[in-house]
Amino acid sequence: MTRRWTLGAAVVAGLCLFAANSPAQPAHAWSDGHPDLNGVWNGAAAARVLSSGDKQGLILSARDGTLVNFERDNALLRRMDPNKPVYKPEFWDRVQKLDQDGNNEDPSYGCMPQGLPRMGPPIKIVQTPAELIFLYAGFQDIYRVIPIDGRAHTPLADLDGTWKGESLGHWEGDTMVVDTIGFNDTSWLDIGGYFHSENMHVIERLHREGDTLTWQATVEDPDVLLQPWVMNKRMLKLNPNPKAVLEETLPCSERDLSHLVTKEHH
Amino acid sequence: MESRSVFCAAICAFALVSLWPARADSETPRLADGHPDLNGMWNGNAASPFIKSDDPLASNLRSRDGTLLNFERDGALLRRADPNKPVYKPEFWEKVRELDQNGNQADPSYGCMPAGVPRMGPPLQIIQTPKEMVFLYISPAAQGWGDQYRVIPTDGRAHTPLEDLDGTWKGESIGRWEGDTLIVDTIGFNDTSWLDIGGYFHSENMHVIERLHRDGDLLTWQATVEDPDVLVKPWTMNARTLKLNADPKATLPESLPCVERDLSHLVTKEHH
Repeated sequence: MTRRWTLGAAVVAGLCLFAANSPAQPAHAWSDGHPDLNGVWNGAAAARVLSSGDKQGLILSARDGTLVNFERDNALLRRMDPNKPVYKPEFWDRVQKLDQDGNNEDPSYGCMPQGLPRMGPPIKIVQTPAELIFLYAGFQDIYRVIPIDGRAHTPLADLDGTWKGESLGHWEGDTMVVDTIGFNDTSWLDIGGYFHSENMHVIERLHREGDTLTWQATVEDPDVLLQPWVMNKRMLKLNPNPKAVLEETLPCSERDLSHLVTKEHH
Repeated sequence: MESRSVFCAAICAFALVSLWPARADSETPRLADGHPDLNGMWNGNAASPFIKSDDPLASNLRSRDGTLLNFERDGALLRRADPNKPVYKPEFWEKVRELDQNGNQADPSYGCMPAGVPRMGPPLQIIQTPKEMVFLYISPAAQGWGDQYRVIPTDGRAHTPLEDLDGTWKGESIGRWEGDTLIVDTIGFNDTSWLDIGGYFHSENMHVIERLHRDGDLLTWQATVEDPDVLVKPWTMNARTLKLNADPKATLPESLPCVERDLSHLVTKEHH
């Protein structure tokens, strides 16, 4: 897959952004009184795990601070993360088997979408009084249109399960809460064989403080999980350039899979 | 390719809608800045099918007997019968013919690649802010895998010099208003995408101008392709007229990801 490299970069960048400092500025108010989430949220990462003189190494965490083997090291770092979804015992074997065969089982390795919540926080937000538009880039140029007009969810039984599900947003104080149901059971939550059921319920919280946006997702899936999984927060920094544009993502074309000689999955 | 039939359905639907004479149902709404309001989902129903049929799906799909039977084949035949075609320089005539004859292999959108501008056509939903337009597409129209978007600044900025742009499927789009018409000017393309079936390739110097004009609840989209490297003259594509979806709570369906499974099983060179 020609895009795998980019995926690794995006994930590591996300981890690094997690370490960003939150400036103690008041949230920018928008015309309707709610915080203004508009903007391109790909500002520079503030801190990194390892220091490096290599400009690219700044956002990629290979063990020696360079780009050498950053995909492998990144996968190792993610596997070491103690924050994992806890599956019911009857699914432990399945998760292990999916994980061991990740190169063939992980749908995002076959150019499928990542889906929610694996796609993470948006890179650009467009806010209108009635809806939020979330734009994503890097893995796939994908968008979400999230009504915030107070409508209720379609009954789950009437929804076709999709990668993005049906998302509705509402404000809880200054926090935007995006509530999503209606998933397929194809997408994974992350590497590691972390599958989910069609009854998954994802709650994302977005909170702006100054020029920092915090995104955190909680996964509820009582069919397969013992308890809701609160994913790691990610802190994004506003791009200060008002003319910043998103780069077009290269289309995914799977060419490597049949040539892989190990089961190592990143 | 899983999405091919849906794709053709969308093409046929768009082609149909474009046959529908434009008429203004109501006053064109405007935003605070005085420009026409292009916000909305532009997938309202087509008014009249090419061929009358009792089949509700067939009202969007054109096959010769008014049913869904062979609509992909008939849709391709109708598109080929369209007299409005790009005119290539004589030195490219053989290349176009050869690409066309091997379309199943040569057409990038048959390998799950994006359609690119202008083949992706008009947007299905528009979000308009004072500084930019966001165009949203779903894959039946945009091809490729999944949904696609374009962010089009309307803040008066100039194009990046062409030599500084990486050629892409969507290029660099800049919007501006000429009276009540939104002009979207795009450069910076790759030379991989096609303009349509038929082997209609283009160069990296292609320049696409899209015009969007709202009249009541109708939005007319028309693209002009300038590519003096390969075309004898600019190609003005057929205008497409879209109807506003009257349901303010309408949502876009999620595109099915594109998976290429059929190509190696095709036994003819017929391309749709």
